[in-house]
Amino acid sequence: VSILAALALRAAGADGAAPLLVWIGRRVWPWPVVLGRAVEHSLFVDPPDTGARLWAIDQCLRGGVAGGGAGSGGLVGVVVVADASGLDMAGSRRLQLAAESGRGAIGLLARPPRERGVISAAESRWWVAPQAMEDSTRQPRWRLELLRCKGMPMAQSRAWIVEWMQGEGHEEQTPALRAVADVADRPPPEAPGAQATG
Amino acid sequence: MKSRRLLCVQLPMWPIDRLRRRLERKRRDEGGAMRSTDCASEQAQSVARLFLISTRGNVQHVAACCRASQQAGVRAGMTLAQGRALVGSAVHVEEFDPAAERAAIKRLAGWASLRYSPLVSVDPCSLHNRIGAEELLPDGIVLDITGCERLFGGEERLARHMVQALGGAGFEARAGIGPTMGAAWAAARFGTREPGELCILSSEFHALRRQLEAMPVRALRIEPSTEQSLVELGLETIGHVLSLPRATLPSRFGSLLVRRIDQALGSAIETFEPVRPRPLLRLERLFDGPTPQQEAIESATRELLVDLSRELLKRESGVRVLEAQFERIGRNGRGTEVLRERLTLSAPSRAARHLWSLLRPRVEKLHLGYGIESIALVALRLGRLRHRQQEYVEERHQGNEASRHEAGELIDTLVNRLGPERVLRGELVESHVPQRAARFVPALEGPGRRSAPLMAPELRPTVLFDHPEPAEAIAMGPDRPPRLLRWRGRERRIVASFGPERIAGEWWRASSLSSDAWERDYFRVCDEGGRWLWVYREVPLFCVQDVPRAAAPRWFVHGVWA
Repeated sequence: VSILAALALRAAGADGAAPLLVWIGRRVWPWPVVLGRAVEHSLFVDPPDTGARLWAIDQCLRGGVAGGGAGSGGLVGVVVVADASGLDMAGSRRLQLAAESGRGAIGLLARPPRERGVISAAESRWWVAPQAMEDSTRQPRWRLELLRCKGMPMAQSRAWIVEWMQGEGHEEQTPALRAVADVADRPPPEAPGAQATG
Repeated sequence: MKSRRLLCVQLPMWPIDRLRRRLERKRRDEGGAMRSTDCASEQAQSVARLFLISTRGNVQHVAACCRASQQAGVRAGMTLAQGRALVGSAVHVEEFDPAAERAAIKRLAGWASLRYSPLVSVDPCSLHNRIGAEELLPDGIVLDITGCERLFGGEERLARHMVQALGGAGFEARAGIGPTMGAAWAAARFGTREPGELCILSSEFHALRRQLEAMPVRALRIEPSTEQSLVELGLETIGHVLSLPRATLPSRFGSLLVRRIDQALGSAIETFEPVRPRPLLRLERLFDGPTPQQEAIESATRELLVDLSRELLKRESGVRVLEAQFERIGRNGRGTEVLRERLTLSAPSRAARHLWSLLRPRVEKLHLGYGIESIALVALRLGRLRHRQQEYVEERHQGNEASRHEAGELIDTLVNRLGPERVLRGELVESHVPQRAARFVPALEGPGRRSAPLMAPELRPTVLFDHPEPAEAIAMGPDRPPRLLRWRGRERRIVASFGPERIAGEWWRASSLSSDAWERDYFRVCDEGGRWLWVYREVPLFCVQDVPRAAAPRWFVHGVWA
């Protein structure tokens, strides 16, 4: 799960100035080594309970200004990666609103597989599963399935297979994803309030 | 004209006394929770020997040690091992930090300048207090007490007062008073025998000269090399030196000697630069009688914050640690008690809005009782913050700095609710040992050092377990990757694997053999479901040909590509 987050994250970080990356919940903390240089503007938050976790996600999406006085400039680029288990519809709507009220904050929420059926107000939802090994691969692969995306007919479901690119043979030190198969030609979600399910 | 009077206070055991105070404070803080449980061990700890060490190259030297160890023969400059051997009992060892000591003695001078005399300086000349090869550390302070003695009823009482105050705080101190800095310096160090004693030298020239003549040449504040050559010639006291023809001295012993003699006797002028501590920034608002209304308290606090930020703007600084004090009427309706709320910020700030957003939840939770009499804001620590129209920055002007500033606000908000140990930042460490390559530090401690340079990009899992999880594996051969792995209760068939990559522990760090001396063969493996694991096999150490290898190698899962 968290790998995907790491990746999407990188995609968000690619556009120029380094945004602040906030990892909320120990379950989504990546090993800092894989983040490479991005470690320097990462923040790791370990909230004690679900309530505090949701509060922290909310704060970060809003751009970190508690009590949010009008005219306070939100953080320019915040990418929030959070463990969103136990999030219900109302909570997710709240977070979605928070993301929309902030400026340019991107939220990536990871939920455990058993919560696949729980509805949420996110911009898009993805199902992530490991992809079985094929002969040609030397890298971990996942299958990303777009479950729901605002403005897309429900029935239509699309899937991508992505590959982890780091290390051997790849020059870049920061991890990246490569879409390998199927319909896809673009990396994973970048819409505000995107939600990854996995 | 009445001559100047200077007071010199020497603190021979300053670093050690500070360390002892630190330890005692720590013990007190912990002792609140478990007072009765281990009194015995506390006592044992209180008599433990104290060492401060400095590391040069890779040798640890004793920089300072407590009296008890001095009596056992430990001297500054010895290696730590020597010192331990001499003392032979439990030793508490800490790293010696010259910068912190220097700052602390400056703070002491600041205290003295508020309490005893406006002209106080850190002793500018402590050539004999060499720590290590070239570190020069002040070990005392100088006060110009001319005229100040009246407030205390005489200079002797002033000095005794100060020495006792220092002694009460746990600092060994000796004092000397004289008409010049040189004389006072010598008096404090060589006119006293026991700690806590006081030596007063006369202002009258001949009497002063007589008193100084008995002191050793070292009291002249000369270079150790000069002292040595004087002593080799049998010139052991100042009297001996003074009896020599003055004209011959500079060519034989350097010009410093003559200058020091003149300074001690008052025929050459010596000046010092007084320390001027900045008073704490403190703003206060008194109510017209006890006020129990929450709204009134809140609005007063906000006004104070606005005033504070205006003050900070003038000083071109921002607050790092802010304490809000609320004076509340006592429970019995008589007397007052002070409620303190302390805010710690990750970056200096003077934005009233931000400070208020941090302070508000605390104020809301405040128990007002019969009413608040006054509110005070004290900026305990300030940080430099350059002028910027930060409140009104347009979005397009927001550069890196502005966004860093706001990141700071976000950190503060999170820390304020969740606590400092729950908001962390990552730090890369230059180490090839997986569990050491990165660590988390509280974000409050500031950006601090830059991360260590990265290792070559190697394949590393995205999640590393704190503790490797044992697994059962079947491998085709002793050096082959596993084919079947049982981990977390599931049997996985391994369809692909890469490796091995051998990683050895940093045995040179090992304090005990078991912790760091190991070798592991890491494999990246993929099971049939597509999950990638980072597994390793422990390589038996010291596998000499004759010794049979351990029957079954032990396997662990250390990380996953989640």
